Amino acid sequence: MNNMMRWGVAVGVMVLLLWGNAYAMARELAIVANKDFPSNAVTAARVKEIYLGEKMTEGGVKIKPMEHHDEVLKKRFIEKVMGSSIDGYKAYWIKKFFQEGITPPTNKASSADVLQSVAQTSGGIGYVWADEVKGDGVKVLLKVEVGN
Amino acid sequence: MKKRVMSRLILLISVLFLSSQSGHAFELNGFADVSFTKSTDGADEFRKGDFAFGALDLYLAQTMDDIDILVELVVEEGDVLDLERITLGYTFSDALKLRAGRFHTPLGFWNTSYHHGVQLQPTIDRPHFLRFEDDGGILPVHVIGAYVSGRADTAVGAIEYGAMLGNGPRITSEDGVVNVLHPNNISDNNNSKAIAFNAAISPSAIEGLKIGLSGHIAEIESDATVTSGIVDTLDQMIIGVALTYSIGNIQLASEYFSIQDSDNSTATDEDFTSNAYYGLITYTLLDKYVPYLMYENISVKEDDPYFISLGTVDTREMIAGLRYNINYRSAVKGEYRRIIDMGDLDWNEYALQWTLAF
Repeated sequence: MNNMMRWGVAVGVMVLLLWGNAYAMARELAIVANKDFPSNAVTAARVKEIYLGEKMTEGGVKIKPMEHHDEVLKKRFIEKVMGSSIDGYKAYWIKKFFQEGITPPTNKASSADVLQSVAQTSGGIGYVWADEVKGDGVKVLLKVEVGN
Repeated sequence: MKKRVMSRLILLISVLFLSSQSGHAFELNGFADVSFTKSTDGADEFRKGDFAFGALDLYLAQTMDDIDILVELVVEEGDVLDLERITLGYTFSDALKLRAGRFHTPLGFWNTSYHHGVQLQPTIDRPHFLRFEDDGGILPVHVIGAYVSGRADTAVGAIEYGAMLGNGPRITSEDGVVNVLHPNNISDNNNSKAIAFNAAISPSAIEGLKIGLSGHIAEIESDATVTSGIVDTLDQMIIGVALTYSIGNIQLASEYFSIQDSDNSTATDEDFTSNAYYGLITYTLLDKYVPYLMYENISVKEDDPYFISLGTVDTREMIAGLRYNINYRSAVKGEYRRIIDMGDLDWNEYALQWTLAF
């Protein structure tokens, strides 16, 4: 094996390691719902409709979306799932609340609060880091990779 | 009057404070604005150059055991407290929502999208013909009644609909000088109820496009204090077409209304058709800067008793403006207005407005 080939193999291994490391660190966000929620899966577009107050019922059940207080998680959710900036999302809800009297998603302090509230609320839906999902009262409707 | 306004505000704040101690805490939100307007000439009210605080708009909304409530109170001109909206509602499904109370008439796009909080609307003022009744508006933009609405996703796109039954408006004299539309808040002044409908489609084939059709039918009478215009009763039908389109950073909005009045007085028994429209284009740059251009036209049919009562004249106006979003809660708007024609007069206006949502 000449020097050129050795360098090629070394660079290739490094690229694979870096890619693998980056992949391993990419986190997923889970959309969770009360275990009695009428659907077992949703699309990202449907989640967006729910968090914009456009879709308010599912199979006769009133949907009660919940917001995560954690700024990092909330930012990832709004940017990746809602396709908006934080300010754009807040401005949207000022308008929606005022125009139609539809209340924005309720804020929850932590992932444990989100999971507990979703489990206890008929039609409850929320989002947490995928690796934080636990408990029998909730089910995962969608996982979204949101980067590192 | 100011004492009465203050006492009502104190009462409202007390109710909110007490509610916060109970299980259902209401969050009080609002809008405020300050403006400066200067006209160059003409018989305009702003020729001296005037600062003005706009409306202090307070609103709250809450869902309690699946019943929705929305209340909007506005303090105008410092000493006028108006209950602008109060609705109770129930959502059966996305396709069927019921609202009852006082709300904005489901006519077109602007009237259902923008209410009194001027921070939300792109321009400083509403188009002339969509102004509120007590500001000289010519359309019944508020109504007291019941309203069903809904939304459905179909293969061709999202479809929204609404249908309303409510008190029809009347024309009354304000301060014995100016005649204005009045939505008949407490009781109707005739047996004919007003009906309205709206329908809109956002076709999935053209993202960002929304096309709507709306209508309003009412029988209108004027109070005995109104001495000009309507003699007996007048049957009115308003048909509106609205279009909004967002493509990239560009937003277009346009509405056209046809107002058909049939005078029932035995003296004339005539039909009149007038129309009003506006076109608005905005461009959003870096989420901060929003230059805009709006053109508005009102063409009133001569001798139409409805417009004689309201003192409405042919109007054409062009507005060029820039909105600067300080943040998501606050904006500053600057406008140049060219009033091309308003009752054979023309003049220019410059206006600044600072708005806040809190």
